[in-house]
Amino acid sequence: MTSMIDVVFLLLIFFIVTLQIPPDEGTLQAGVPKAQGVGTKTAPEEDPRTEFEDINVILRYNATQNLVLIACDNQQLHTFDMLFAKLQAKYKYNPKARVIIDCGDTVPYQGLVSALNAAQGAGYRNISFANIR
Amino acid sequence: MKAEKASGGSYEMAPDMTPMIDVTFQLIIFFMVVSELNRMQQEAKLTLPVAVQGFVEENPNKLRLIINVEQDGTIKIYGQIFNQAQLRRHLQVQHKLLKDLERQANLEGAAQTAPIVLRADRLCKFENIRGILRVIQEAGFERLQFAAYTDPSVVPRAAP
Repeated sequence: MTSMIDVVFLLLIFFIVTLQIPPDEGTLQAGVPKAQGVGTKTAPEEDPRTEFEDINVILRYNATQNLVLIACDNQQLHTFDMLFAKLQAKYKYNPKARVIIDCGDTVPYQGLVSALNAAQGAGYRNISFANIR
Repeated sequence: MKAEKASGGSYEMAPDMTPMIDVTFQLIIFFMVVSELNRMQQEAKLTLPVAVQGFVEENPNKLRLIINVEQDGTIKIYGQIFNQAQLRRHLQVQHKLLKDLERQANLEGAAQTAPIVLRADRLCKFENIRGILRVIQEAGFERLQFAAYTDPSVVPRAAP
């Protein structure tokens, strides 16, 4: 009996030591634009975008994944903090606007998520992506 | 330990180990199952991006589908590698199943509200993500969630 208990305790200690507790994972919400011409029968009153302008965010990175350009409605910005401040300022006047993020091919996933983070932090709930076709 | 028998002799008293062994085995099984589930759902190779605005759901949608994307663009679902065509087929089947579930289990809007969770490596290029977004769009899913760590100290350098 003693040897079995020894083995069982060794197994238990092994599993406790090797168990990795993953860091907290959150999610950022975004909408998927409906495919063109595929059952997009949105009633006019259900589509709030008709009365609110879209806000275009452009992200560009170079081949070595260094940030080259962040632009919001044709205004060049240098950091995601500036993007956040810009979006926050626009939110006061246009809280139901849709933010459309246009990413270049070399934009890393972190860049995309940082832009989403800025938009969501500024208060926008309607966030989408350009040129995914 | 020795105890006196009523008849005058003595016998050995050993503590009953059975409940302790039961509990220990239960713990072992628990740790084995937890570590296996973690491995299956989430690819250990991924380093997620950081987003402090990320919302940690206590009760995530049970119908959600997790898509893992490694740094080189490899798509993995439950540890299985998918190419774009396979992913398209898989998502179409999933969407159809959700539609059937709506009808049969009276779950109104199940197909519309079931989110796709994209767990991509923080250095994965958008050219690899774009195709996946297109496939998700074509399959008819409308809710998308981007997974990220909420604690910046997890990743050494937050923004590339």
